[in-house]
Amino acid sequence: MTELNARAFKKKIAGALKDKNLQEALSKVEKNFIERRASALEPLPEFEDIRNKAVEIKNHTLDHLDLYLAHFASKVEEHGGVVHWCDNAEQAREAILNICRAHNAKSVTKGKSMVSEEIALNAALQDAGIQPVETDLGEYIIQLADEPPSHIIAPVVHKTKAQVETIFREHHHHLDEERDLSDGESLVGEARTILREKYFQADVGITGANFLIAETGSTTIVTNEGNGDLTQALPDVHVVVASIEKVVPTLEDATTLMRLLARSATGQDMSVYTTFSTGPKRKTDKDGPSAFHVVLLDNGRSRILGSKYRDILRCIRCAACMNHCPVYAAVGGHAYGSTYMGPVGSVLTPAIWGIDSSPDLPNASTFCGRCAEVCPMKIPLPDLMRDWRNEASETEQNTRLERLAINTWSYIAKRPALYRRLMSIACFFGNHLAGSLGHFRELPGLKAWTRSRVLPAPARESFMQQYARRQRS
Amino acid sequence: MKSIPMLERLQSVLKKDDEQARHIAIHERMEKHERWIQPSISQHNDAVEDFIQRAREHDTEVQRLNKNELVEAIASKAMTFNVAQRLVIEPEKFFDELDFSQTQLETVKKKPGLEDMMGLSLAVAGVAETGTLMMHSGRERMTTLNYVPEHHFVVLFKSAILDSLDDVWKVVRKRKVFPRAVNLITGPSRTADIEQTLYMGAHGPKTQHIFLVDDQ
Repeated sequence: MTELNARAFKKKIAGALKDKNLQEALSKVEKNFIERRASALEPLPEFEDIRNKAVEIKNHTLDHLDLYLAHFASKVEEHGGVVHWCDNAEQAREAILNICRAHNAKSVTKGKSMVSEEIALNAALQDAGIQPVETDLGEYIIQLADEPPSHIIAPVVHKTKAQVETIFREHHHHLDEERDLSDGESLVGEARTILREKYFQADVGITGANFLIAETGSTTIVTNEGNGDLTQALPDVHVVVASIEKVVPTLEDATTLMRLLARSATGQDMSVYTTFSTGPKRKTDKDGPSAFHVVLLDNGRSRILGSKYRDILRCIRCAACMNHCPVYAAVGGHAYGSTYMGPVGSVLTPAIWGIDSSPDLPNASTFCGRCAEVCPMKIPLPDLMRDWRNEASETEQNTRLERLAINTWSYIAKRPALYRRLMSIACFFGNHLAGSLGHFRELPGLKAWTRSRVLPAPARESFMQQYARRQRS
Repeated sequence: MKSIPMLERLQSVLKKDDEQARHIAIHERMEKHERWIQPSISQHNDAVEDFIQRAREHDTEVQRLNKNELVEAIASKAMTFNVAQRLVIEPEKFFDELDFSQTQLETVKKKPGLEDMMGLSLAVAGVAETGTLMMHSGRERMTTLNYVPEHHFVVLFKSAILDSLDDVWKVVRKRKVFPRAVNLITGPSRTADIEQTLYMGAHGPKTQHIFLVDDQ
């Protein structure tokens, strides 16, 4: 698979901007997601109040995360489920592999789960001789293409319909060349036919969780396709893999967050399927899995909880921030080189894997602030990215030139007399060089900047010079 | 209880003076089940009408009828699909009263498989806020019927329509044991994964039909 490498961000940008298919695919994101979200909010004048309540719910839960998690776990066990406490990705992979081995699993169906991407679960399953089958249509397509998701709720948003057809023809060898797959409907039908059988063949079903309910020990998934439900209801074993910040105290708390989630994500008032799973099937139940496991993943989150990046743990993974981000819209998700992309990825990636792993991601922002404006959990994303920029500047990551420039600036800015002297010289020459044009069309070393703008020339005298002169006269 | 390193790490980050007070606070909160902001869309002049309208907005067909019209309505709906005329019925007592022997439909009570194209379930509740159906697992239930057949027929009693999504929990909590699965379903299956264009019938049912029975 394409290796994730968040250090290559700058390099990948150029390729992304020139990729015609990617640019065509991305051109639809803005219109679809932004407009749909906006019209979904119209019939909900209480959105802002619900948002404030949601922030309060999550902040309260984070303040008592240890207690709510312990209570959640005790409830899962009360219903006959098993909880696995995993400090890092390796432990989580091992826990899941052990469950699969214990049930002698050959094939595993998977609902969409970003945490399973975070722990690189598919590769681990494959290495252990267990076939993972992604069942979310988008995830299925990128699994065939051997690529990571480029968006947290629309994993194949970077591909055009024609590209999807090519992928299907490459991998579904039974396909008749004559068969028309040019319309989306036939592509969906083809995937449906293939995956239906997989659901019934699978020994284990693995899903993520949008919420964990402490009160009842329930895990919740939200989908539109129904793949998550077929994944968890048909095999004999259901494994939920979830990060610890997904917990909320009560079903009513989850309901409040649900009112924000679908509207912020896909612009729906309600996703088609919202399912609460609590333990394995009861003695008298007619169907459902006979074993239920919850794999709880920390992977740095307890550290984040004690840091200034704590607010990022409120995230409910709706993707509104990336849908509204001009940087994401220009380069797409793969350029970020991380499981988590867009503004949330620029904060979460260094928080989980360290700023050394992703020094440029906090710079992947124009600081326009749209992400914070639309975030249903009011996460101050630009502020958190600014904090990461500070930390990045203190590491070796900055180039020598950048550091020389910043240090020189800092030296001059702290010395007002020197600053004024240099400014008046710069003003004089700048004004002189620009001549009657009044602006610069091109500047040495700043070509990329002046390609699409002109730099206005400074006034002949600086403000301070003019002020001093007028005081005298 | 064995010590769990993850919880110990969290405790060291969250360390507060009064551990006892924290315990009491979270248990009180979990026992209260407090409902938060109820949006105006969860308040209704006519909850039944709002339910029907919103279910239809989510591409579900809704047909109002009396109980004695059910068999004929279900059989004629089934006729409109070009599939084997066999209906998998939930092992729910209410369905024992329905006699399909005079119709073209063969009826079976079993776990649905790949070959089953039509299923019939009884909804536990409907939610007028969003046009959502609520089902849950149990002795007389078959949750996989909600997802496996291509065409899903659902009987819903008018008296089971609730105002708000929060009302669902009042109904579920009345049960002695919390059910393994609580399923909120709002329309037939769909996907927008290919160029954000909506296609129906991704993995679950391609169509959904609610037979709304007037029981009041």
